[in-house]
Formats: sequence, structure tokens, C-alpha cells
Amino acid sequence: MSTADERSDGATSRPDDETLVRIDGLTKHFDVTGGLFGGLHLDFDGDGLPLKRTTSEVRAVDDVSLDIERGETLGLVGESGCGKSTLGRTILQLINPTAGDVYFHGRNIAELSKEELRRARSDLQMIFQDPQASLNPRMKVGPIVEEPMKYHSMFDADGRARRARELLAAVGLDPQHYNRYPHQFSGGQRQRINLARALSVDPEFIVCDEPTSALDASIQAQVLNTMRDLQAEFDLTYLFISHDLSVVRHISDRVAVMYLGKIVELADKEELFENPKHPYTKALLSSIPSPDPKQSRRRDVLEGDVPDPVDPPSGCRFRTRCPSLIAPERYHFDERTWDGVRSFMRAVDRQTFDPHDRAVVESEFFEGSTLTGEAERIVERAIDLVLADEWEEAAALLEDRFANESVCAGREPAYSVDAEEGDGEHFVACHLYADEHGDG
Amino acid sequence: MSDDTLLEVRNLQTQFDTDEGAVRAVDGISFDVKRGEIVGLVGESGAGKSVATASILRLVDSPGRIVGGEVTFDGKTIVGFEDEPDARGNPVPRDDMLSDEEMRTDVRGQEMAIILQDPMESLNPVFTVGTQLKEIIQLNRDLPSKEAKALAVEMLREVGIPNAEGRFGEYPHEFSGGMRQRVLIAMALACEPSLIIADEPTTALDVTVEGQILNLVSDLQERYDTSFIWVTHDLAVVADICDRVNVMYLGEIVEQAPVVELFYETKHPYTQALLDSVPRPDQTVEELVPIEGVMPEAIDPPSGCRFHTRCPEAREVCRRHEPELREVGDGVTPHAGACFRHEAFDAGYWESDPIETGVSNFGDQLLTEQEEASQ
Amino acid sequence: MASETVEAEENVAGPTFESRVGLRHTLSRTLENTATKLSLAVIVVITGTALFAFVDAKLLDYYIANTYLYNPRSAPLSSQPLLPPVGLSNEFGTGTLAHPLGTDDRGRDIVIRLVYGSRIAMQVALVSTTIGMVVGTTVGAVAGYYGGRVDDVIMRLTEVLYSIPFLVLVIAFMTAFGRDLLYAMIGVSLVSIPIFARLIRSEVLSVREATYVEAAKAVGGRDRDILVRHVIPNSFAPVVVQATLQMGTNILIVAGLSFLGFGAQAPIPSWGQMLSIARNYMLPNPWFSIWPGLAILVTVMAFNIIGDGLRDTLDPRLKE
Repeated sequence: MSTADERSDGATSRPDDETLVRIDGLTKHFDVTGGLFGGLHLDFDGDGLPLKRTTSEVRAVDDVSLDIERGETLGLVGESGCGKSTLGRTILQLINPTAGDVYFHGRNIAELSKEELRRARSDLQMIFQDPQASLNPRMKVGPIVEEPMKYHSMFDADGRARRARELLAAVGLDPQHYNRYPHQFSGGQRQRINLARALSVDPEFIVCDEPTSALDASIQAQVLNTMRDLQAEFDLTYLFISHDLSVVRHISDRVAVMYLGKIVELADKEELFENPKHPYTKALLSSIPSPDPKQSRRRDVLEGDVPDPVDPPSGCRFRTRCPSLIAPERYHFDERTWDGVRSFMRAVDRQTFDPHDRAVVESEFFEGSTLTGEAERIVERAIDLVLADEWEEAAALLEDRFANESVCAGREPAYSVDAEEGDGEHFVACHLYADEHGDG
Repeated sequence: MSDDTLLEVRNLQTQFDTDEGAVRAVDGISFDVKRGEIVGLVGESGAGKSVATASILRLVDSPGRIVGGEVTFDGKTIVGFEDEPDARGNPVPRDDMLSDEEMRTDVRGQEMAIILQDPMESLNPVFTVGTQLKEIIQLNRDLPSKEAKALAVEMLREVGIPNAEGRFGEYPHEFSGGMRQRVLIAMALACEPSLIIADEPTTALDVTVEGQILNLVSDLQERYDTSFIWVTHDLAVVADICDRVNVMYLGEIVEQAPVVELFYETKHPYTQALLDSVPRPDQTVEELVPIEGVMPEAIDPPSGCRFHTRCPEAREVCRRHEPELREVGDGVTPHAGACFRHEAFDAGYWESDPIETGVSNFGDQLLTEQEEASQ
Repeated sequence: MASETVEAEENVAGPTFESRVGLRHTLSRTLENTATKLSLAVIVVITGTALFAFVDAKLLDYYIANTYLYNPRSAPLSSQPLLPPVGLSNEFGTGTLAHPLGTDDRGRDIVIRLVYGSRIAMQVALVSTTIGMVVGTTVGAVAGYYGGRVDDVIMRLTEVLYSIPFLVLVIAFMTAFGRDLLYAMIGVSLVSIPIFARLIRSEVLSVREATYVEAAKAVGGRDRDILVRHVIPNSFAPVVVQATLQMGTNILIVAGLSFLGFGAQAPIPSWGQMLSIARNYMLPNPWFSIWPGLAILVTVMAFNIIGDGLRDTLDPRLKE
């Protein structure tokens, strides 16, 4: 639409013609202290009133930076609770970011006034996960599709109705269904209505939040194909959020993997799926069952659950579950020994074994290990504690002396390595790749 | 029934009586479950998978009712009717069919257990996880409280719950989704049933957690030699865990085969279409081939082969005659399919005229038909 | 299992494709139930009667003042007091066709007094409920949509209102302003304001979070548009239900007030006041008290049944 063009032409700076959306240090923390008196507690040690308030925050999205290129589909994968949906909504300013900037055509939309932002929304659209819940049940399809045009004062009433019918046809619905209610459609058809609504204002960028995960497999394929066709036809850029790696592999050009509020790996699709670098990406890929019964049925799966995002681990957030946690340098472990220490540490933390006597524990975890000096003393002490049923103390000791000494706990990793497939950039947030790190 | 067959389902029919007429949600399905195997029941939503398992457990609620067929489980008749219906045409239960009371006390929980998709729905939020598990054990195994508790802790450890003793006293909401599903598996296993019906147990879980649960189930299945009916819409899960598979479409089983044959020697166009329409994690599929249209309403299924309205291979004969499930394999491994394209049918498919099913635009066919009907 | 039932329902939902939203559908769905149908008929009849009494108000005044008023000096005009219904007899005489339900303590015809009493009842139902609904929903919707301080202040105020026993509240109000029927109605509406406010607030709170509201924001809707087009239409169904139920309740409250001597003042006939007088003649002529009691019972019940019926069709939370 003309309004959109004028705006983008009037934009002051365009650092890179290819970059449509640049996300810089985007952060969203939710206050979960809760209630009128939440977080209040007595503290007699401090000065003044003995009543103190501490807040706790879920760090849903933490310092995420991304460039989304014009015309591409950037896939964003991660498990539930990793912050991928929050990131999508924060980019569109549907949720106010705690910090960070989002540049669209070089213009920082995080700093726009409410009315400016409202006008800017004609270029930035969103498709939601639940196709039914995102349609007002009391409105007919035609008015639903026309609504955004109304808000952005596009055309007159007749023009809007005509365009709505055109759009219904474009997304693969019968324009005759203009006067129907959303509940008269199947799930896949409803998602098409959502697509038509998003397209009505001729946007450039669409955030798709799990658009097909509520649909049956065969319907999902229809909708995915339509989304691809529309991308070409309407010159769209997608941020495609999904937990389904297969779908992301199908539709994306580049893929970002998110864990606990951070991007841990970002690369071209083929590169990411064929040469995953980050241990988390590797674990994800090996977890998915493959639709081929002849392939190996045994997977290496991750242990344990995702840590609490209120108090995420320091350094690399994946280190508490990482099968490749790097050995602390000061103890000079060999590989075998560090493996033993690491699995012992995890087992103590999760209390997964039954301690009877020292010999059994030692043979289970430290067979063939060469524990010496300080490390040996720490392990001995931990085994003593476990035998005395002091699990938590043992776990704390091991964590403090081993896990927290690792480089993974100390610094936040961010490296860029050479891609093996294609010539794109490959970002990986893992200290294992410190040596391969290029100049980027 | 042969010795190693645990569950035999023959021509099972379940319908829902509604104002608009009877909806035949399950329309004459037959399959077996042998001891120690995992049998998949695959299909899209609305295929009737869950009604089928509910019928096997005799848990179909009004307005639904089982109207025909036989279900035999370990020598017991779970569903069985006299040959002649009563005066009003309703089926008459045979004398050897278990009473509701016997189903409750002797079969469900004891011999057959169920794991549902949403673990939160199956756990009572006001009792601790341990109490609920202990209660089930006490109820079904007649153990004194102390031993039941010890066994409950043992079971929690068995399904991989860390710090089982400590978590025994925690409430369901203190567990993550995957941990809750583990608790349900512990509950199902607690009475060492011979058959566990798992209804989309991993659908609500993340991939890494799903992987954990699939590994756990494989391990436990080997150790306890329990049989499973695994209901799912996800072919990848089927490929991963099942030994034999039944593919359901609109209340009927359209293909039945061991898992490798199903994926490599696919005999039914619906199964093939399902396989072609899902993107794969292990390779990049450039173009997905979707199944045209949507599944028709079960209240008014298409004539002939129920899939003919969406089938790329459909011909005139498919519209006129209904194919039943027949042996279509190579004679070595059993492989049944319900499609006229196979020699076993000899229905004149190849001579018949192809019919136009390509609803060019995305499944409006159903609505269009209704529009016509209403005019 | 539950999920499959839903699936099955989805399957059968097909043929009943004609609009599931909209007024006509709501009415036809609601009226499928016989009890609801009967109740609606009752309300229609009573409303008709009340309308007649309204139109005929002049006649009413005349009638009250002269025709049947017990006047010792013009005995021929009035009938024998406390007559039983036609066909029965008691110590005062035998019922006649002229007074099919009998007469009251002053010889006035009970049928006619009931008819004119319906005027008060319906007036109360309509006026007090409307005031309560309009004020309550406005206040509650504002509280729910804006949240924060606004919400806190409004909701604490309604809670104060809620915490006063309703009879005490209305009587205090009427003592301050006057024993008139108008003040009775306003007083009664005070009682229902917090009910409506809380109801719509909780509804708005959940609708505000609905994905289609977020979607409307995402496409660039203004607050005002979103409120008018999305939030209010989708929050209103329970209010309609509550309003219907509230009509019955308000009739009951005003009848109670009239019974205690507040509200419509004699000689204007109201059901509550009739009951109050009849109380003195329970033993000699029980019919006198049965009729107004029955009128109240039937009307209130009819409103409640319709309210329940509407709730079944309108309130999606109770479906399944």
C-alpha cells in the first residue's frame, strides 16, 4: 500500500539493504513476585524498617540480537518455556521489552509512541497458534478480514469488501464464504482466514507463532504450502516460531535455536540440521523420532528438566544439562576422569542411585579414573556426604568446586564458526568452539 | 484365538446417538494385540481412535454406545452380543459378557491400564502424587499401607523420577509435564497389567521429553513384557515404538501391517498420503504433498471407499463399492489393506474410470456439499 | 476419552451449521426446552397484564378510589370482605362469579388487585434491574479493562456495597430519601450494582486476554475499537443471563419491602403489600394470602427458568 511505501522511503537510516528487521539486545523480564504483598519479608539485619521487598523476575528473553533479512524465513525453534513466543511478541511490541531495540527498516520501533506504533503495525503482522481463538467468534469472516484495513484507513467500504474477497481467494478459501462465522470452518480454513487478515494491510514482515501446530498432519501440509506461495506472491518475510523441528526444516531458510531465553545457535537450515554444533541442538535433533522404522530406535536424550528461568545458570545456560560440559582447567582432568566426575555430579544432584558402600559408588563412577590431589579430596568428601544421606550438601559441594569452576559457568559463550554447508554465518553459543572462532 | 493373542477385536462398532442421527465413530474395526507387542492406532483427529480404545475399556459414555462386534481379552468377553437383536433392534449382550462391575474391579486398572494425553487431567490436584500412587496399589494389590508405600517409591524410581522418596510427598503441580507423564506410567504399571492403552501420551510433551518417555516405555516394555495399544497421530512416533500398526480413517481401519512393511511397502493411498504430507526432521523435503480436502463428517460418510473423496487414485468403482480389509501382502508377512487397487480384490479397479477428486481449493468440498443440501 | 467425545461432537456439529451465534439462534436454542417455553409464556402474559394496567392507569385510580373501596357509608358499592374463590364458602359467605378469586379485607376483588399488582412487579423488575445493569456493567467493564488503580478503587467500593445486608441497605436508603416506590427501585438497584460489576469485570478480564483481542492489537486497533468491537460483545452474554435472574430477585426484594411497609403505599395494590395484609386473615380466609403468594412465586420462577435457559445457550463455560 502507498502509505507503507512512503513510510519506508522516509526512513532515515538503512544500514543494510538486506536486513529488514534488526533486533539488538532485546530483553523481556516478567515480574512474578505476585500479589499486593508479594515478595515482602522481614529483615532485621538491614537499616531502617525491617520490612523488605524482593522481586523475582522470569527472564523470558535475555539479550537477544538477530538480523532478519528481507524475503527470508527465519525459523525459531525451542521447547516450551524457552521464550520463543515472548520473543516474537516482543519484536512486534505486543509486549513491551524490558530493554533492547528493534529496527524495522532502520527505524527503532521500540521507541515509537503508541499512535506511531499503531500506524506501523500495517507492516508488521502476526499469525497465532490457535486459529480459532484468534478470530472473534461473533464476527463474520468478511469484517474480520476488513478490520485491519479499517484501522489503517485503507480504501472505502466497497474497496475493503472487494479486497477481502480477493484475499479469501488468495489464501485458498471460497470468496462466497465472506458472510460466514469462524466456527463454520475447519481448523485449517480458520488459519487461512488469519492469513487473509494479516495480509489485508500488505505487510512486509509476519511473525508466525506455531501457525500449524494445532492442525492435523495433512492439513498442516496444505497450510505450509499456502504460506510459501503467499510469501512469494506478497514478498513477505517470516519469523516462523515452532517447536517442531521437521516443520522448521521444511519452511525455513535460516534457523535459530533458543534455550532458556537465549539464542544458542543460528545458521542456514542445511548447515544447522546437517552440522549442528551446540550440544543442545544436537540433543534436540537426536530426540526427534524419525518417520523411518529402520532407523535406530535408541536416542541420546537429555537428562532432567529445564532450569527455572527466574534463576538461570550463570555463563552458558545449558551447562547444567550439557553432556559436553568443559572440565575446569585447574584440576587437569583427563577425559575419562572428567566423564566420571560429571556423571557422579549429575547423579548426586538428581539422587538417582542408591548408596550402600563407598566401593560400589567408586566403581560405578570412577572405574579407571585418575583422580588426584584436590579433586580426589573433594570427591571423597562428597561420597562421605552421600553415604551420610546428606545429598544436598554433597551436590552443593560438587557444584561449587567442579561445575562452577568450568569455563561454561564463568563466561557467556558467543562464537561464530565457519559453515560447512553454504557460505552463511554460523553462530554458536558454546565454549567448545572457542578455538574455531573466526574474527566475527 | 491363538495362545499369544492377548486382545482380539472383531468388527467392533460404536455409535453416538445425536439429534441429527447416529454417528458411527467406530465402524467395524478388527485387530489383535499379541502378548508383549506394541500395536499402533494411527489417524487424524476424528478418525475414531480414541472411541475405539474407550470401547475396548468399555468406557463409552452416553450418547455413545457399543452396538456390535466382539472384544475378547485374555479369555474374557469384554464385548459380545447375541446374534439376534431385541424387539427394538438394539443388540442384546451375551451372558458371558463381563458386567460393568466386573470390568471395574477385575479388568480396568488390574489387567488393562490407560495413560492419557494430559497428565494433569488424570491426577487429582489436591492429593500428593505418592498418595495417589499408593492408593492405586493398595486398591488393586491388597497390600498393607507400608508395603504399598515402599512399592510406590520403588515404582517412581523405576520410571526415572529423581529423588523418588522426596518427591513422593509432592503435589502434581510441582512436577513438570514429563515428570507427570512418568507418574502416570508408574500408576499404569503399578498393578502389572498385561495391556496398557496409551492415548497420545507424548503429544503434549516437548521433543526432548518425548524422547525420554519413548526410551522409558521401550525399556519398561522389555522388562515387564506388557502389551501396548499406542494411539497417536504422529507417524514418527509409530515408526519409533510400534511393532504393528493399524491406520484408521473415518471409523475404519484402512491398513494393517508390521511397522517396517507399513512404511516401506505401503498399500493404502491414505497411508501413503499421510507419509508424504509430513515434513521430515532428517532430510529436507522441498515440496510437501498435502491430502486434499478435510475428513468428511462421520455422520454422513462418503459412499464406497470412505477415502475416495480425497484419494488421488480414486476411480468409479471406489465410489460405488466399499472395500473391506483384506490380505494384500506378499504372503510372507501379513499385510492387510482396504483398497481396490490390489489383486486380492478383483473389483475391476483398473478398468474403471478415474474420478476427479482434486478439489482444487483446499477442502471446501464439505461445505459446498452442505450448501447444496440446504438449497 | 473426553477429547474423543469432543471430536464426536465436532463431527455431528456439521449439519447444524446455521449460525450458532446471533439473537435468533439464541432464542430458538433457548426455547427448545419446554419449561423455558412455558416460563416465557407466563412472562408474556404477566407483561401484557401489566401493560394493560399501565394503559388503564386512569381507570385504576378511579377504581381504587371508588368502585371497590370498602366504604361503610356506601355499602352497596363494595362487596362482602374476605370472600373465598368461586364455589367455596367460609364464615363470611360463598364465593361468587363476580369475584372469581374472592375478595380482600375491604371487599375489593382479588383478580383486579393482582392484575394491577403486576404493574408494580414488572415496573420494579425492569427499572431496578436496568439501573443496576447499566451502572454495574459500566463500572465493572471500566475496572476490568483498565485494571490497576482504577480497578482497585472501583472493586473495593463495590465490595463495601456488597458487605451491607441488602435489606438494611435498602431500608436505610429509603429512610433517608422517602418511602416511595421510586426510591424502593433505586435502593434495590443498589443491591444489584456490585453483582453486575463483578460479573462483567471477571468476564472482561478473561476476554481482554483472548487471542483475538491480541490479534486486534497486532493489526493496529485502537483501545476504543477493541473495547467496542471485541471485548464488550464477547463479555455481555453472562450479563444478559444475570439480568434475567436479577429481575426475579428484584421482584422478590420489593415484595419483601412492601410486606414490611416500604415500597408502594396503599391504596396502590402491590403483591407484597397484599400479602402483608392477608397475613392477618390467614385462618379465616387462607385464599387471600395464597393468591399474591402464588403470583410472586410464578413470576419469579418464570424469570429464573428463562435465566437458566439463556445461561445454557449463552454461557459457553457451562457447555459440554
